[in-house]
Amino acid sequence: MITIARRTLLKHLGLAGLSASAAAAFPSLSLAAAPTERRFVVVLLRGAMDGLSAVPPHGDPSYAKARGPIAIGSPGSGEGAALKLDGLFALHPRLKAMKALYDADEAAVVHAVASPYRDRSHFDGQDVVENGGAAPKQQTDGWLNRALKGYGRKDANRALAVSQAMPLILTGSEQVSSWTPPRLPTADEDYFTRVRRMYQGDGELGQVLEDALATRAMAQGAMQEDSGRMARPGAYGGGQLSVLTRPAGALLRADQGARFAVLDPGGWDTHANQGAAQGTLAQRLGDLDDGLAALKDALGPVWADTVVVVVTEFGRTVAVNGSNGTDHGTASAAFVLGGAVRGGQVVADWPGLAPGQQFQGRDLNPTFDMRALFKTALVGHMGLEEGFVDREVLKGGPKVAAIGELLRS
Amino acid sequence: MSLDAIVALNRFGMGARPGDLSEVARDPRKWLRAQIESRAALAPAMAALKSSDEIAHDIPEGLSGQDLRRSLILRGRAIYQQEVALRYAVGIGADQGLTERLARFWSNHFTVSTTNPRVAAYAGAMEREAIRPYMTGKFEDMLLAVVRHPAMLIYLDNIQSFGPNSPAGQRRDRGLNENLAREILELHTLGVNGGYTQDDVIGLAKIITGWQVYAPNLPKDLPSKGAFVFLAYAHEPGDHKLLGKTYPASRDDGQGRAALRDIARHPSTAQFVATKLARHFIADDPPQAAVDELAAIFRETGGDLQKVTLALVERKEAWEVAPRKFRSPEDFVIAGMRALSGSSTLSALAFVDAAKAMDDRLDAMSEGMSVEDYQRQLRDVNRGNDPAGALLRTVQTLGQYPYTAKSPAGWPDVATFWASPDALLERLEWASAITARIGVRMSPTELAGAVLGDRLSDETQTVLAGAASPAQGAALVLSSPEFQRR
Repeated sequence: MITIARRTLLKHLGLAGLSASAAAAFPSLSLAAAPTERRFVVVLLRGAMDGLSAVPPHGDPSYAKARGPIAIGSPGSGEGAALKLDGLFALHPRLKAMKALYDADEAAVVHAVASPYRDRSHFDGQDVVENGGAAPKQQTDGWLNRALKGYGRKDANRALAVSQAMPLILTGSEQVSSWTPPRLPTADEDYFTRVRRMYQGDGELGQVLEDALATRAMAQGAMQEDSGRMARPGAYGGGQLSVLTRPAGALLRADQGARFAVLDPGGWDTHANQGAAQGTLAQRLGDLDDGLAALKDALGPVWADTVVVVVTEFGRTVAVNGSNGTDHGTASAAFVLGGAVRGGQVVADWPGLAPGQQFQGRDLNPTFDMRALFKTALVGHMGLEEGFVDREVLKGGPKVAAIGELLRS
Repeated sequence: MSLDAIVALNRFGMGARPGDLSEVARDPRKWLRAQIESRAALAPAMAALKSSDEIAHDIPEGLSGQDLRRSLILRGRAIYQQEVALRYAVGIGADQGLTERLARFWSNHFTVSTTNPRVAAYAGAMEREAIRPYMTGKFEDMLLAVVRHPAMLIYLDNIQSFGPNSPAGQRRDRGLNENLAREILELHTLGVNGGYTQDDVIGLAKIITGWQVYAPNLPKDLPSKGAFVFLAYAHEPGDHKLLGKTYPASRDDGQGRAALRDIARHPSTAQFVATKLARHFIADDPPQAAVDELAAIFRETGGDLQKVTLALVERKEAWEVAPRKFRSPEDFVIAGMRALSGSSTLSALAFVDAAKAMDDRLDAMSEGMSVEDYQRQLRDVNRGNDPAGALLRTVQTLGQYPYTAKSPAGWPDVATFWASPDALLERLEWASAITARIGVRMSPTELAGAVLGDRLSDETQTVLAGAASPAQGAALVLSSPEFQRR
């Protein structure tokens, strides 16, 4: 009988009251790059990524049976086999770049992760991930927006949504901006001067336009510096995350560029024909993998100062549903990557997949609060004050501890 | 009076066209009431489009397996582009602005999306067949029509849901898919806090097993010749429970009909629908008194949407002159094209041309154009090499292309989502590009007066008066703060 309980790191991760002080957790803070040079990227996978296929627990004796036709083949089992991380966990075969980063100690995997939300609505689940508390609509602004109150730079370009519409996670009273590759002919400056004049007296639109123009100018500069490396701007749809991550990398790399960025690719709601090594989910994972590789490439030297956290609103059922897919579940997997990350490790207090170990008899049991990853990045990496983050940013939910072991500094 | 007419045309309608103001100013409320009381919700041009029954039964001969699937997806794509082009044309050309707004509101409430490519063929048909005929009728009739529609059954995976104890489930070892049942409860009726549990999701999922879409491999002796079929051998047998009530087993879809009618009349549904209506027509954060009144009428009338909508247009908050709703991208494009339609050579006709071009392609397809040739043409449209496709493509960049919402919750209905820096910049650039391409004949001051009335800020008036050209002036009208809101 294999012992499934696994305590790679602090076994109480995510529980209240166990936090070492920030100074003890991050002893060499003063030696690292100034906080204003650090970069933090959040990738929110909308639709509930199946963590059991992205990071299959091949060593769990219940895995292959529970997953049936969508189980990922054990490492070494031939074509389409999972990429082994350790005796318990592996990566989906399409996460090739992630595996290379893991081997280079620049990517860590976290498993059995969930927000404090325990129901199964996508929209409420995403709301909780983005508002940073414990319940839907608990806060009407996003935790990353609130975090900016504790950040030195105040211009809108410091924090970008790489999407047309503003996601909740960045919505709030702090100035932020959004950007996507331009796809229409740019209007002349004279026109914008006149529009600005009309918007001067408009409390809402005036500021939005100023931010948009400042971001556009910054992006043009960043693209010029980066010419030759850039993907050409063009149409993008459900796939092709790299069309967004590549320019996002340039914006994060620029001197007065973004230091916080959010991307939120959808398409993860695999209710039917999810597939295993190939299929719907494999395509999404391949796209994510390519997108993250493109981001690293575009960041160039500042990859060393970067932390990327990849999370989803919840996981999916352990069992396969009636149509070779999976329904809404609870815990999933998360990724933390970047040159500033101490990778090559899996962080998990593995609950097991046997029927008696499942949450409500159907889902992966959550043993890790994903807000601990947010806190790690904000406090340990971006240099925000721990008390401020507890009080103002990740407020309204259980207190979480930052995980010093996930960072190099 | 003219202020009320502006509210009626812009907030309740799809935006004023030059000339509309004097027409509607005679009695703006009567203009709205007439639209609510009339049942003519289908534009005549739409009558020529294929019904879902036709689409489901029109299977190309001589193809099978992968080839058949590919051909159906491509045909679906063509039908979709035609539907979208015509929907824009109808929105831009409509005299009945409230009817068009209601159609888009309800279509968004019951979102289906081409994020599932198989939905493309049916998305437009669903709005024409299951939304428009019922939006001033009973909510339960709309709910039933939507849930039985191929677009919804495909989009939320009910065609992949099988009763685990049904003959089909047993033989093929297949079972429930909860997706549609959950979203019916969460997004279409009770709302997420409406008082249902995971057991209710499963109960409803069982109740609607066997609700399927016609396919050529189904038995020939099906009772229905339509797109919707009830497959008894896929239906979970027995009585099922939902929200504390037991629905007895039935040999047809009666069990499901009864359950859907009950949840359509549930008090939580009344509250949820009333909140969304008030948010769409009054303010992002709607006044509670308005929500409560609409919900009460919904409850008392068993979900009579005509009564609810009539009450909505009588609410005094809805007539406040200062516009509070930031126009969504689709609202903005349609209102913009409507504003320009009297003063330019480009109008709804461009979209009609686009729809016609798609129609020719569909004909060519059914007359044996090869899949390869068709695919090449479709690529041209998507790249904007095709003039009819070019206009649609510019609209696509603004981010609210019909039937492409990223989730079954539909497009958000609040400014915090749409008024982001990037999205604002793109719509300003669109206004500049579209007005540069067409011949604008009116002066900006005239145009603004015709579509916004005389309530312009001093700043806007000054800027419009000093515009460098008629085209720039028209772009400035469209970009003005007054035009950005309804």
